[in-house]
Amino acid sequence: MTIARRDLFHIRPRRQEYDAIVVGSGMSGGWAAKELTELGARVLVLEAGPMIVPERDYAEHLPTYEMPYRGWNDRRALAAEQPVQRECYACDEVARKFFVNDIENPYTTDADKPFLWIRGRQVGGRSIMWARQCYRLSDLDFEANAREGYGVDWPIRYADLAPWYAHVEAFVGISGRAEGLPQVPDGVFLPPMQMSCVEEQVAGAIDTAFGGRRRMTIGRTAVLTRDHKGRRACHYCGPCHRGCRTRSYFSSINATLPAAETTGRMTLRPNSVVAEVVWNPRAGRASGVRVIDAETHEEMEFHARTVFLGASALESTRLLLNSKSPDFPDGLANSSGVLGKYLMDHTMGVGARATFPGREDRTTRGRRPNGVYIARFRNVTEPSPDFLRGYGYQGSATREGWGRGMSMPGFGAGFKRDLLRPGPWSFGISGFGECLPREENHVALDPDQVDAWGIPTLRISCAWSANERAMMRDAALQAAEMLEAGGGRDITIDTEMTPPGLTIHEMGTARMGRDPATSVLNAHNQAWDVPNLFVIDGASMTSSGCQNPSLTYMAFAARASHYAVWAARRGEV
Amino acid sequence: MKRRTAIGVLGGVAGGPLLMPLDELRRMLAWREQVLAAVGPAEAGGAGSGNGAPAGDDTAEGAAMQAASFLTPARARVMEALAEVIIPATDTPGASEAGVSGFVAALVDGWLDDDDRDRFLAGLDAVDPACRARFGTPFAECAPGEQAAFVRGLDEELTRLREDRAADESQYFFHDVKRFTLTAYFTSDVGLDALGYRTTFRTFEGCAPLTAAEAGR
Repeated sequence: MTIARRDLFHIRPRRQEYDAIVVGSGMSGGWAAKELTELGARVLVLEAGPMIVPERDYAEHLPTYEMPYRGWNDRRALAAEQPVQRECYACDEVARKFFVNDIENPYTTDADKPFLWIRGRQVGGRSIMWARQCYRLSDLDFEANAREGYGVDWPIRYADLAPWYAHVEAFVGISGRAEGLPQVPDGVFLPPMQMSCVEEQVAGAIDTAFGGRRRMTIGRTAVLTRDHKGRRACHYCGPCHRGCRTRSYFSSINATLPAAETTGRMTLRPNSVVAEVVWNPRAGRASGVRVIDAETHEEMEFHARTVFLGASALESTRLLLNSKSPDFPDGLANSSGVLGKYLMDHTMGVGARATFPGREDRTTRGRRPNGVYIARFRNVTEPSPDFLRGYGYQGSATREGWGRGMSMPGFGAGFKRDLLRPGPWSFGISGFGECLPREENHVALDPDQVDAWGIPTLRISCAWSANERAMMRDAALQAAEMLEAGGGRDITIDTEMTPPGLTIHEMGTARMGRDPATSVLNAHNQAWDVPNLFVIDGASMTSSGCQNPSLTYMAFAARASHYAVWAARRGEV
Repeated sequence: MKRRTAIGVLGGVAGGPLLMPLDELRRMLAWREQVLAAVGPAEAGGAGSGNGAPAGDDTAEGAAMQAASFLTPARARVMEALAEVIIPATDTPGASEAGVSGFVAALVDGWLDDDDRDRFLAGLDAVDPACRARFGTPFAECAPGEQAAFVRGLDEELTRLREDRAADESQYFFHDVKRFTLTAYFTSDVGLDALGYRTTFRTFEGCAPLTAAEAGR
């Protein structure tokens, strides 16, 4: 990253206002920084965590033998410092530094409702460790609440967002294959990655067995299959979540923040924990933010004409709940009372796995940072037995590695020779299901707890409902049936839904809507109550779809940024 | 408990709850307690732990050296010898060239829970006495045939435990010996070389012919 060091430290409040303050430097904040600065705005980006310098902090090629625990992670350090974060697969021996310290960043849950809140506090946020899958939502999703009378209607439709999907996709660089599926519309794609032999075999078998109603395609992923806008094509080393010095996958550090820096109009201040959005009652606007320096605990205020929150769904909502004033005793922009409510995540953990005899003379070459995707078919091409909405699958088929030896009998020269060769083809798929927006799934301030910077923390109350459980029962059965249709043997199913939060698609709690009485944001991610305040991350979601949501957050962030600049020029913000 | 459920129980699963068992949820909820109960800084061979870790050298040089490991030189010798029987040198190096004891020392000193560590070390400590009784020499000095016979007994017991639904094979020390050995070997530089491991690729191929090494030629 080329951000000059002078910009990283010792940034002091100035009399001069910025045009915009962006809270958060991850997926959403990075897009606001890029779009706003490219449109001419002077932008202050505030990030709660430290600076990340790729040349120093990325470690994707670190050989396993240089890790003290050979990739098995530092169990005792995790137990002491990251007892929540360790539940995420990416919080590994190398990348755990990109996840928060749970002791410094506590939260509480109801005793019988576990919620795993996986967080990254550093420049780049969770865009460093994300799983990079990118799928557009469609009108199947934007119309679902209105059609079923569940939740409030989205204030937009696909046609409103489609050009912004295209806008961000062209910059991000997403490899994928056009399929013409209405439920996951095609986007601007770089060449797709290859499927493996067994993935091709099963994709064809599913097409035949289910009469074309179910489609398996290669995953759509924010990883470059050719050089793109100054970033290098992927070299298939594997562990993207540890960073990428060739910037081959999209993150704010790899792409949007450098673009914003190039304009000369971005100031980035790491170690800036935003405690409050400051409300100016006379002006009827937000005047800026109150910041606590993460290292010195010094308090300061920064001012701007517009404030954008992209701190992650629950952090942005927490910030608003903590911004209390006589005008907004229950949190800024909360005249509706729905701030904090309608929390969602996607269901995860349920699917099936099988081995596939044959093709023993073939293998995959390279570690593909991507899998296959089975688009949602329930309540699209096939009715569901007993639930609303639907789910998609993600997975991959590769040959098993040496790890299979741990549960195999044997030892000695023959055992070693076997393990040096690829094992059987194994194919696992896992369902990701839509979660209904329910009022009782909510967050509120915890009256009894503060974080390491003295800021009140969240109490999270969230559980799956009967609809999600019914959906996942079906997902397990259909996964097994599809693998069987593809020629799978020794089929096993995973039946344990992971607790909400762990999918790391947590969203909602400051939803968009058509009515200020039942929503926090309007169709432009703009707070109904505070005209110069925009919430541009997952907090704004009105329903969840079943698609991985980051692409949608990016599109919303870009769209809201353009709207804000346009409205400001007309004197409306 | 075996984690995956066979497709044979599909009917039961479809009718039953899919949520995690309550005790599993409680385990996740108990993280604050786990923090409080978490072991302190990894002080290998804490005084009075009774696990046979040497007190360490009290010379100036000894003090400058790292704290003594639970994996004493005698235990390391047994571990290395077992590992070499599991993954012997063939046309490629064996486990003894892969730094097995360094990895295992890191695990026993800073990774395993105390009770798992003690069970593993007790199993390791029983190897030489058993070999002396059976063959008249410690394991590392046994003839290759004797070593193989001994390890075969351990491996057969592990297999028996794995197939016994009532048993938990992960409590058996040879389960650890085997997974520590395989991980140490296949993540080492010599192991990765034997696998033909490469870090980077020009592209991803979904259906490539096997290399000579992969085909075992």
